[in-house]
Amino acid sequence: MRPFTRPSARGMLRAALAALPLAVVALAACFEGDVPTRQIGGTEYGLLLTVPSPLRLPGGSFTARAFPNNLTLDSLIVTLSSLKPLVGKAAYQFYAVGGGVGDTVPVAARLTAIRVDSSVTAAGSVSTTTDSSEIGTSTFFHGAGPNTTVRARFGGAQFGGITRRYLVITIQADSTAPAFTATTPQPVWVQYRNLAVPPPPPPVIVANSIITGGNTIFGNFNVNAPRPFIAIGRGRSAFWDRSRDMRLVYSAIVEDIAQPPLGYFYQPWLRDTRTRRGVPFGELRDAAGASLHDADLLVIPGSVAQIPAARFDTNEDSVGTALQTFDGVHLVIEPKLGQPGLSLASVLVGTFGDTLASRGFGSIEVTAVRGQELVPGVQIVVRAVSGNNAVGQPIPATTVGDEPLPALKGKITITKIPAGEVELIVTPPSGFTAPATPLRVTVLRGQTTPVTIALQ
Amino acid sequence: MRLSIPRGRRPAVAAAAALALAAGALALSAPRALAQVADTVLTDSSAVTGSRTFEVSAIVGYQLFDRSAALRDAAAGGVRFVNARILPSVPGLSLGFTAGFARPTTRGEYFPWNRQIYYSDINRRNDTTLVFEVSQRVTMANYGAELGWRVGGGDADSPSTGLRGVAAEVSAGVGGYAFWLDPEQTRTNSIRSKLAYTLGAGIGVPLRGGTTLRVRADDLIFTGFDRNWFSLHDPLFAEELFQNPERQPPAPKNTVHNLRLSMQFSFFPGVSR
Repeated sequence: MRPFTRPSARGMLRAALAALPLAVVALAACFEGDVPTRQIGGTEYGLLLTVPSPLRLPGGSFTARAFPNNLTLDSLIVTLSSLKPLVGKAAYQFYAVGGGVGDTVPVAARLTAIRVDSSVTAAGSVSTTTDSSEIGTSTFFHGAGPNTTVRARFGGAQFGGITRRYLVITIQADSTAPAFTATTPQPVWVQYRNLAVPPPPPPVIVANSIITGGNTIFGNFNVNAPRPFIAIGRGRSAFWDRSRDMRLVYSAIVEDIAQPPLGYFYQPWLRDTRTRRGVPFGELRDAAGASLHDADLLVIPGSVAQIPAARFDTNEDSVGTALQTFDGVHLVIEPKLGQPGLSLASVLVGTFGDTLASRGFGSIEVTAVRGQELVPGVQIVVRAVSGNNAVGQPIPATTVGDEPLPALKGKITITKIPAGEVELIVTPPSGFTAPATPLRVTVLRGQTTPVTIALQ
Repeated sequence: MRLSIPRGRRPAVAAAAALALAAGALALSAPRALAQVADTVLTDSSAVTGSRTFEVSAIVGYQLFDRSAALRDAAAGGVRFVNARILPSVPGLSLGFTAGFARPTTRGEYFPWNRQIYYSDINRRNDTTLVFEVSQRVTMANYGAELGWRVGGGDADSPSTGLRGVAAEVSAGVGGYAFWLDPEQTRTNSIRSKLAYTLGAGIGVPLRGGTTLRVRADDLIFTGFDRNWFSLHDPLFAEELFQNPERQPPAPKNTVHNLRLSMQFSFFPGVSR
């Protein structure tokens, strides 16, 4: 029998070396509770995009007057809005259109611009004024801003006999060389005369009779198969605090939106209805990242031409201002030849929720003084420099007296002001005079800016 | 007759073959090693010189994964058994078996993000969305037989000491690799196993007491590799508005090269110097 011998130091060393991998296993086991998944960025603020109501698509309404036989057109009056001003030599042009050869001819109208302006009163309410001005008589029309409606009055004689049935508004890229071809955008039309073979009753329709009124139609005109534009689709989007510094990035996916009419495209906008600011951003891209600016030229099969999916996005650096200072995202249908500027023809809209909107507010703390004297009872209304609405709360605000605290005398804090430059409309109490020039203040989001009103 | 092995079973067959090969080689040396152990038990080990045939190595190192593999570098361990005298007529020729492991985490930045939407009791709607980069810690194992060749270090039975005892070695092997995914993250017990090759080289420096320190670099070549095994992307929770990867990762590869740098403490059981 062999006696037991004590392990040598060398043997112990070897045992320790052999155990080394086991030690590594044990160490690795210590990381079992480690979850390597990590949060990226901060909070995402979701925003659904839906079709707004009412829609403000290009076009309007019409009224037609006929002679007693109800077959001869006396006059046609069309009221048009949301026809965005066009650039350079581009212009809208009116055509009378029929199915026969030679039936398509330019027609002229006496044009009147009706402009509505609004302003903020000293009490904070909005007053509007309406002005109308004659543009002249022309077959061309260069468009109008969002606050302007154009009334076009056509004499009936130029529409000829009963073979012409439509008034079509075209977009001419070069108004010095107008044309009416298949490639000419024909986005708005009016059918003022019934067909020679009307649809079966009811109601009973007299062949070729004048249609006395209705709405214009926006879409792709074709005398044989006009295709109206239908505002459809939906979108989901979100603002994301990617860097956890409230410098938001934005991304949207829209689905099943209608193909734009010829000569039109979709433009995303950030808009603020409170201050009437608007910034176009980015462009629609398909799933592969290709631009959809020319989606109007795509051949899309099916009875309803739709774009299955598209994306657009932006960030604060691109827009130039904090995204949360707006109050909505709009997908607007615009003419490709349109001038820069706001258009109200939104087909998808998302309105900010309170959680996000509140992060775009700032405040001002107003102190009214005359010399060293603190002045209570001064009424203040805040108006965004770019807008015609009163903003902030309260509207109007009034500097307080000795109550409830003497320290607050002559002061008032106005909150929930969208960040940006604002103008103060000051109405002092009797015996005091407001500053000669309106006071302008830059409101910063999340901050309270002190303002002193020096009364005379 | 042509032997055909189904593609899915090739790693297992290769691993089995490698193991059988290594086991055979080790079996040749085992009786001698065991006899040597028996002979030395009763004696002062410092006075015994046994047979240097059956070498055992403990591996401690660091695994540098291929950049396209979607795995972060991690510590690695393992064991290595080598019969360095399989053919007396070819000194230095060796046959061995190696098994290694590591616990790397996956590179979540290579895969789409997931989003979680949280309900708010205050305004009674889902008003908060958080975005997550999803990764997991996986267990990697590699195993296989290897054929090697050593140069230097003196005679096998009476090794040189000091600088004259330094030996260089190269080896090539075949076997398999396996990844065990995190069952909590994947909600399944999942293992991915394929054929692997190894290419390695190193230098051995004799230490006192019959122990050798080897410094080795091994290329663990994983074939049939698919980094999407590690993706925890779930369409139900996919963050589709803000798309990841933000920066394009390296192109995926079917065969990845993973460098393992290791120190190996080697000794011959029963041999004291």
